[in-house]
Amino acid sequence: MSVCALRVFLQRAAVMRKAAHQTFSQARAFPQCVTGSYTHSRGINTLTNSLRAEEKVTVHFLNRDGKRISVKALTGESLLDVVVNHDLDIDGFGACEGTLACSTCHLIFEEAVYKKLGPISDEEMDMLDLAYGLTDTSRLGCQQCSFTTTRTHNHDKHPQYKDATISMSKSKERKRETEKRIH
Amino acid sequence: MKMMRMINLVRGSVMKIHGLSRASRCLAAEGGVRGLSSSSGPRVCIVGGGPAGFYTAQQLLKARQDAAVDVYERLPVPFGLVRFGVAPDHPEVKNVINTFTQTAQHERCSFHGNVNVGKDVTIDELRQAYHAVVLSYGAEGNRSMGISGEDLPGVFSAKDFVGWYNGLPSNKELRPDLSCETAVILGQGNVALDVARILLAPVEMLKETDITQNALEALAGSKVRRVLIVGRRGPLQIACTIKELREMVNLPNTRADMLPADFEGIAEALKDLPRPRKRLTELMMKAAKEGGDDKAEKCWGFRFFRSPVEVIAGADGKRATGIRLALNKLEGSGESARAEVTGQLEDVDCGLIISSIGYKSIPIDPAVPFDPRRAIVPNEMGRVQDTAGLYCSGWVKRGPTGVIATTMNDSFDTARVLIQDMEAGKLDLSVNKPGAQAITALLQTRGVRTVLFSHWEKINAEEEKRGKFLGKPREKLLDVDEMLKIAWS
Repeated sequence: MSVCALRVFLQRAAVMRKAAHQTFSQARAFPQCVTGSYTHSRGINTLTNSLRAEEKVTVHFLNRDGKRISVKALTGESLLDVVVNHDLDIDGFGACEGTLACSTCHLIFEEAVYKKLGPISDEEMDMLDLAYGLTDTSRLGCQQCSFTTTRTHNHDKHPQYKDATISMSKSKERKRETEKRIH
Repeated sequence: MKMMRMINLVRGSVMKIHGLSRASRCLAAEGGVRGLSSSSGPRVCIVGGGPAGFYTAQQLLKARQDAAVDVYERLPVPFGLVRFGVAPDHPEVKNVINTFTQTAQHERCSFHGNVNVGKDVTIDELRQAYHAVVLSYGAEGNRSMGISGEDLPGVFSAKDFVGWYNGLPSNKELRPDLSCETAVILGQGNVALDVARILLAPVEMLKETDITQNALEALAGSKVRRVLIVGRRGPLQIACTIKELREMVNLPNTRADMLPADFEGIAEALKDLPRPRKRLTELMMKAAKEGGDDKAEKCWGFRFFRSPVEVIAGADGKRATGIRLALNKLEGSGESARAEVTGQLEDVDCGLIISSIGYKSIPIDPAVPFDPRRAIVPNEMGRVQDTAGLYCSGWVKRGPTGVIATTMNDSFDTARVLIQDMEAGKLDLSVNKPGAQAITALLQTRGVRTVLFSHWEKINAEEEKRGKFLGKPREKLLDVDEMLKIAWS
């Protein structure tokens, strides 16, 4: 599967608890997600509460051939971290390793999710402008590390998301399936 | 901004650690001794150890678990323009070296440096030893301006100037004279902006990069204070990208100096432009309007609608002291607008002229078709014309434009086409091919010894060690003989 443009769906696994909110806001305080990165560089997940369902977000990557890869990500992980840490089969993703020197982590988001993403810096936009197949809801995956709420429905405008919409409404089942695959 | 840099470096090391664990998994999974992989698998030869070569290799190794890939490189050191082209103050762009290193260390891949394909070994000999050969040797020449005085001292191609500050062995004796006040760069792509930025950047900033020590010392003593970046067409046709423009605008102790006349009609055209072009143009106009700190010691600016017609020599006729430019007008608009002569001329005094109008590929071997007009190997989706089993990727296939990611996608395309041909039976994989063993033996009879990746790692370690002493990430070796001595020590 190659990088051209990937579409992303984000799905929160369950209702957010206060603790999760706090984690979320910490992640926002460090927009480059240093905390998340350090955790994974040690190869050990030292966030003891990471196994709680509330902390995990299901991310669906949909490539141009319609193939979908779904993984569970931790709040605070950047979408590049997610691809790397789960060893996803996406050729050439993140060539510059998250340093805003390329556009190979280009992702296209659903509009509702896109609107909730953090503000875009000049540096990100400069590289994003070079991405192939740029859209109005495009961002660079290496700069997105806060996941927002579920319930993003986009049925009518994007027919190719029908499957995703179905899966999102059956979120509990999918979450269980994903858990089976990863653990 | 510095915080972001630090954080970005941290991210870089995270990826490296991940990358290493991936590589070791590959090694463990494959088992066996490198170089003695199953003789029934396809053997592919790649000519050129730069981004195109490595990305093609990476994709082939992934797509076929029985494929063995050998990468041949003329220099003892790998990585091509990532090492010799990317500016020293863009270290993040060089992170791709980590993925190339993984590929080179792959069980089914071997690197052979110090091999001059076309001279030490022919393409036909490679085609006999391998099931397929991929040409990824890039563009080592440059387009000439074709004007009188181009060969005068003081005139350089950007390729050579960049090679000089990046430690390319063949440019180590360049010794550009930086004692003049004004430098003129012809061409307005990212290479031109890199050259301008290196000429004007504060030495304090450059001394922490992997720029060569001799270039650093020359730049520390440079008298160049004004750099003009000249293009044939207008602001809407400029080829550079916004990141590089922003770096010029933000250069400390410099101000922008442009001609308002060059921007006539541009503001009106803005609203119809796609976002990337619009942002680039807006930034340019802002720089042109605001200029910057008047007290700034140095200045830079674009000059549009101008083509070089002659390099002017000094009274003694021995070196460049100026350049004669023809003024153009634009016919048409947008990307396809053309520059037409008006007959007007303009002379600019300058002591350093750098022509940055494009790299150019050259033919490698008479047995390989070559299109001299486009300066590429003629091909159909990476399959070399009329030559079964011969492929190409990167600049030698498409022409010398695009960033590393462009070459990456292109190399993946060629690899896929090659795999398709294997699977469709267009390449006869039933024949056993000897691969590197035969070529290495042949080279030995010709007195050529190869540099393996483990040898490069010794060169790498030595460069990093010397760099540490100087407070730089590395101090590049400039001499091929010295590289070989350390490689084989």
